Amino acid sequence: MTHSPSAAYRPMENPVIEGLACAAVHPGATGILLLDAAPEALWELASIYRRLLSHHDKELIPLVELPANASEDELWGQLALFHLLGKTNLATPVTQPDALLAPPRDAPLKLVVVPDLARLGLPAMRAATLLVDAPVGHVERHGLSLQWPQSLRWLAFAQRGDMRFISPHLLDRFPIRLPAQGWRDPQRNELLAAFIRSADKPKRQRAPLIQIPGGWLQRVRRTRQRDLLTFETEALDVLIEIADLNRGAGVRRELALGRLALGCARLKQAATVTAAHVRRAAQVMSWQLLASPLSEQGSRATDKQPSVPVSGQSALHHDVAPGAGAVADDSARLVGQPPSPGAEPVYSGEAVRRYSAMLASAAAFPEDTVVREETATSLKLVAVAEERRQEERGHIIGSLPTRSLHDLALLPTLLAAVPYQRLRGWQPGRRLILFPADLRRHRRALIPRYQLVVVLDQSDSLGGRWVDAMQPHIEWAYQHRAPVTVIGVGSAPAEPRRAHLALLESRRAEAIQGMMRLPQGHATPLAHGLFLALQQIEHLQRDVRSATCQIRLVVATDGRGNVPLMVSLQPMEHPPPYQTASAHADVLALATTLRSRRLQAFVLDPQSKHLVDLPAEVAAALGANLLFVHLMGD
Amino acid sequence: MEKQQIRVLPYTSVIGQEQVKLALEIAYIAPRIGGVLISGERGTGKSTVVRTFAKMMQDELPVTLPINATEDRVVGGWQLEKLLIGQRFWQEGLLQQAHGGFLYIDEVNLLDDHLVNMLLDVASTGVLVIQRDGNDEQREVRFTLVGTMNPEEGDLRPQLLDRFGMEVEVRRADAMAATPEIGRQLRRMILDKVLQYEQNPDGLIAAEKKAVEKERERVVAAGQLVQKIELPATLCDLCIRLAQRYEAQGHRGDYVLALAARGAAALRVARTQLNGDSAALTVTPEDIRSVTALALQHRRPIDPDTRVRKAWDTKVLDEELKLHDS
Repeated sequence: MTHSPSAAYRPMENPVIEGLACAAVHPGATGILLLDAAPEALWELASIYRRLLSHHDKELIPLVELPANASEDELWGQLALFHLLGKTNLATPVTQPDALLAPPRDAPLKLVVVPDLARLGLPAMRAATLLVDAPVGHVERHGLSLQWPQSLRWLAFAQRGDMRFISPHLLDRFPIRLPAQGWRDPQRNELLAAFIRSADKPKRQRAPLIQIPGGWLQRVRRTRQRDLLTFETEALDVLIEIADLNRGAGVRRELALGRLALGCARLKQAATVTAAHVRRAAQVMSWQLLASPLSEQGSRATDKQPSVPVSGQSALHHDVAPGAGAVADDSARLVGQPPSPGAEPVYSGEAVRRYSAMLASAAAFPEDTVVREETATSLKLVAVAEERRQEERGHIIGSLPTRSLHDLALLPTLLAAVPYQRLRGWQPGRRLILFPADLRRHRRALIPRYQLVVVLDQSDSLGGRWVDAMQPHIEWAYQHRAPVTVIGVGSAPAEPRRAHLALLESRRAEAIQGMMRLPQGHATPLAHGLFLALQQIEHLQRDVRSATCQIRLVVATDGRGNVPLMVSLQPMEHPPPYQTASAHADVLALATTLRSRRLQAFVLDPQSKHLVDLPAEVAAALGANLLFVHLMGD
Repeated sequence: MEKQQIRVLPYTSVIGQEQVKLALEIAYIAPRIGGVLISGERGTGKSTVVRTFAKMMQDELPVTLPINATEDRVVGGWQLEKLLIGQRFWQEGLLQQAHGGFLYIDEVNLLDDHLVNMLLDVASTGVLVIQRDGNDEQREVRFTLVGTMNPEEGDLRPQLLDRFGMEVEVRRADAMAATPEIGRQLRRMILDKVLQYEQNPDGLIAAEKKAVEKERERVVAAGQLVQKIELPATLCDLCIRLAQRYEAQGHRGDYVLALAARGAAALRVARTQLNGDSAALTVTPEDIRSVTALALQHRRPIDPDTRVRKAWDTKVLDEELKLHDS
């Protein structure tokens, strides 16, 4: 079967391909985030983008997948053990050059694919924050000192509903967002049939399984090298108008729109970048467009929006000549991409499902509409670990003899061998002669292996009275050197319907007791408190330096929660009336979710006369030990 | 060691960010101040300004301590390739490489604690003590610390914050504009310049070469003047009073303010002289006004009720300057 490049492409069915093509021809478009792509489309899209970035199919640029659990050494480079084993020549660098994020050696670019941005481990997230949209990369590790000009292109995938797990700092590095929900190559059936028919043939004669529709590949490769394009004054005005409607921090979003508009103009072989190109780029990214086009404010007919190409027409054939007016189309005046249908709820419980739906309704920048839960998205390394392979984490503080190659300290091993070289018959210019007795492994600083997370009801009936009841847990934290997180529920009059989280720098009893003496509020957003606990625990468990750690969760509550989670997540001065009954359902749903997180959980029940069963219900949902306590003053 | 020639946007093409430029220039000509922390929201060009300033002054990017660094690269270590064949070669660490220049840390608030500890030891004493891998030596190491950070990721440890002589809180260029229309004009200029640069970096670098050279000459001239700038006793008193009024913590507030004011005066005088005019080699109250926030705002105390740093109030500065004038 032959594939006609331009016949079948339906541009508005495939804006993602158009977006990738526009980005591929602009050197500044270094990071692209594809939203809501189906899992099966991921590698298809990555493969398409890789071909778009490559000059020839025979010399495709290298592609690496960034694993979620990649360690710093895997990302940036680690010492090569084969040097000690004598399996390489002496000219090979001691630091392995094939790290995931090392610059490409024999290609102008390298494509880094992130299958799920929300599931990246902390080292990879921090690396992406450093490298995406930066003109230079730096590595200073294990004797390797390297700086290189920007040569990585990033293609990341994420679901809109998961945006709350991603640092806004990192998301800001990906201002080019392409909605990819429901993306499917319109010729997929034919390609698959042809591929199966040719499956018995030698590899080189097999039909391609992935084809770039619409002639974009040829167009991209023809137009990459072009003269400087300038923006028409009106184009810059439109760009800023649209950017204002999609405003974020800094200038990255408007630069992204400018970059894509430039790519769009290049692909259409325009002499300048016009307002039509800018609008087109915004449409491709599903940005909100002008509610009132500039053309209606001024007098020029040429200012009008380009039409949205209809199904079956190629965007390449639908271009607007530079400076010429486009066909007016009212449908383009307020175009926001329809809400994604694909955002899956992460947790059970109606409240969390509603929350996910709210996220999904935002088009290109869902993070703008959510209240950031700081711990879940922090890029700071957390201090946690588990017992297994404890010695691999922590910073290096020395070395000690070893009999295995595990976590080997190369330098101390060599230094241990040096004094004995003459005895062993070493000759100048040859490799050192090592004996097993020379082997040294790193001695590393211990990382705390325990964490205490406390959810503390501080509303008016209970606040400040938990000190004695908390004492055993404070002692546990002290004995295990466990960092402490305290989540105050009902403690802040300024935001009474939200819980508040504090990471205590000191685990001393006074510091924790100080948290218990905060001003007391009237509402009890217990559901939000548990939500923050869940976020914090997931954050702790995300650091790949430790697959998990022993976390003790203590929920000090009389079981009452009277603020539904949705109300806490959308703080406003005067929220609409809500049912407190749904707040309790939220509490139980979140407690059930927390139960699956391998915790040691306790519920401290103050034995309130009016709320006899509630703490037991929470404890049962949480799978926690229920402890009856006497509060101070009872 | 592998350093490739890397192009960055020319210094003269950076639109706005006057406070960041002022702070960097002062830190460069008066290294005793102790460096600059540039803190601000994402996408405001913090790193770009630092890199392009270093490129202008040193013709190369600043020595950069990335948050992925290992200890041996920070303090130095034996080069493994040499050791493998029985040779000894000590590879300098970044702290030594930065001696006499900038040490730049991007995302400084994400730096791991053990690296911060090393940095603090050296920044506070000016001496790098190497006691590792059989090597025992001490080296004098003086560098100007420049850090950029996004405060959304959390604060700096107070000890490290104190090592930065000045702090700039960066906002979008248009947010600082006098009117919305000026703000839009600034945004247009930024877009135009950056997109132009990305399409043809060599073209813009060549076009700006003379302007960049002129700026470099101005900063170099200021560096030669700064030691000659006098600080009148009344203005010295003003620095002390301002540090008191703003409740600056520690003893470095008034001292840094006075040094920064001298730096600002040197830059002003150099600009005047390069324009063919003359100016007195003396700090003026306006010089102090231009650097007071840089020197003192990060030294303000934490409000015990709100647990955030006390807000900056320009009225205090206006009052003190008025008092001084009278």
